[in-house]
Amino acid sequence: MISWGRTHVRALSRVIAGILKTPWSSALTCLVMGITLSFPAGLYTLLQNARALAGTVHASPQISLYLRLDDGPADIGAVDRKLARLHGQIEAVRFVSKNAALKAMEAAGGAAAAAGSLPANPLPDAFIVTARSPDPRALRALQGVFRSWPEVDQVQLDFGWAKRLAAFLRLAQETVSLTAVLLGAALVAVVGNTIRLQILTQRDEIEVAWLMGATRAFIRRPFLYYGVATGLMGGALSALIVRLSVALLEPRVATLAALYGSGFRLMPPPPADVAMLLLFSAGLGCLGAYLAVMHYLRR
Amino acid sequence: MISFDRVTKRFPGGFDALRQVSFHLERGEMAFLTGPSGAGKSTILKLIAAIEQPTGGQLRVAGQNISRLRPSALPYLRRNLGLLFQDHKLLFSRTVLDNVRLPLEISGFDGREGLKRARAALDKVGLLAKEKAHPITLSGGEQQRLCIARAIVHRPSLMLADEPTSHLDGGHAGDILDMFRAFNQVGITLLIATHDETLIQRLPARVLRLDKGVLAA
Repeated sequence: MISWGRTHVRALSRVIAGILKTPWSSALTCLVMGITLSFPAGLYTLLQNARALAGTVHASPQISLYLRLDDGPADIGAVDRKLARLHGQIEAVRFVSKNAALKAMEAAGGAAAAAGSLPANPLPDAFIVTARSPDPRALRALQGVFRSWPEVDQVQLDFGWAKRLAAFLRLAQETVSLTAVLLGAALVAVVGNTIRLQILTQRDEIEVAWLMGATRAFIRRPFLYYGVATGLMGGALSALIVRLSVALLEPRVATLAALYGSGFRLMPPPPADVAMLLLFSAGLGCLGAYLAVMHYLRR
Repeated sequence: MISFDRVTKRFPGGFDALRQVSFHLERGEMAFLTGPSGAGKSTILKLIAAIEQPTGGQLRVAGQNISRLRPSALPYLRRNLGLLFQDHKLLFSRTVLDNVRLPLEISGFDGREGLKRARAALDKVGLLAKEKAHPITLSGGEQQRLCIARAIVHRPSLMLADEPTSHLDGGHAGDILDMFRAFNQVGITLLIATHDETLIQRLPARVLRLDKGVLAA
């Protein structure tokens, strides 16, 4: 076990020495990885920000419940109590009486004359319900519940925008995933090719070590470490690029958001996302190195 | 230690490098393998080190059947061998000391013990003063001695040498033979492939003569 640990430490120190010995070549590989990874990482950051923004907009998905024209105060009270029981799914409830609605209509002006000529107020009492979840499926379910109530005549739900936003976010998510997969494959190829060149320059050393009883793992280990180290450095560089880009764009985004009356701020990736990015890039580096070494050893 | 039982080696294309070769080498024994170029000397050494696989017969090294050895077991067999290659196979990017430490690194020795052993091996072949030099700066004789230090540093039970004196003059060749004799005296089994008859006459050892892949009676 100690001897196994020693071989790991030795391989790691040799990799560090190798990187320090050829700083330009290693830096170029890291630069390629960093820039390439910064595309999906940047898109992901934008997507997360868009999600956060959508979350703030989602505070107002509303469902209008129009009661029957002949409903009285008892029915209104019954609906109010039923709504209170759904407080887990409902953010806020606002009651708009038929009189208040008519006044608002008259204040709007256009239909005031027509409304005044009618023998009675043609508008129903209504509840404007703000749902907690912006999820279209949750909104639909809530709509179904309201429809089943006998006091309710009509339920109006305008969640077209919510569906569009959800579809856009889904599309953006899939675009990010696809970009990550494609660029990830490119990075595996980049690291694999770098390792392949390293193997060619160290062919004699590998052959001698093999003849002296080195296992495949012993031969593979320094290359895997190199792949992981390159991946980590590339990932760290891409995180830095994304962070700097966010810092650069943030004031302009804040200005734009302010014009729309929003206090939205563009946020850099949180530490958990940076950790995931480092893990992902290290994994890609390791995979590229593994494929290159195994291809060589098989030959 | 080594047992060849009607071993045949046929290379792709139909060339028979060895035909029905049988011999035994006891533990602690020293033997020369001789014959003209292309007789099959190097092939025998490669079969023992499992660099090549026999195409027929049975070959046992240190009790292990080489033909049936799992690939994962090969490295552990080789760690018990001291190999001297005709082309030295030294690593010119490493120092003399690091070349000698390589087999110890592979076997997982710790740094301090590895350093002690490597320096002792270099001392044995008279190269301790050049431990920080690179092999490219050494003479042919020194390079050969460096190979010997690398071959014995992990204290192998069997040493295989392929034309160990081919690039050396008489004086240096004599030094190498003296070292072989000393290793054999401490119990290392030695099989030395050479076509140099004068070398064979200088050491009292068994001689195995090969011709066109066949061992002479």
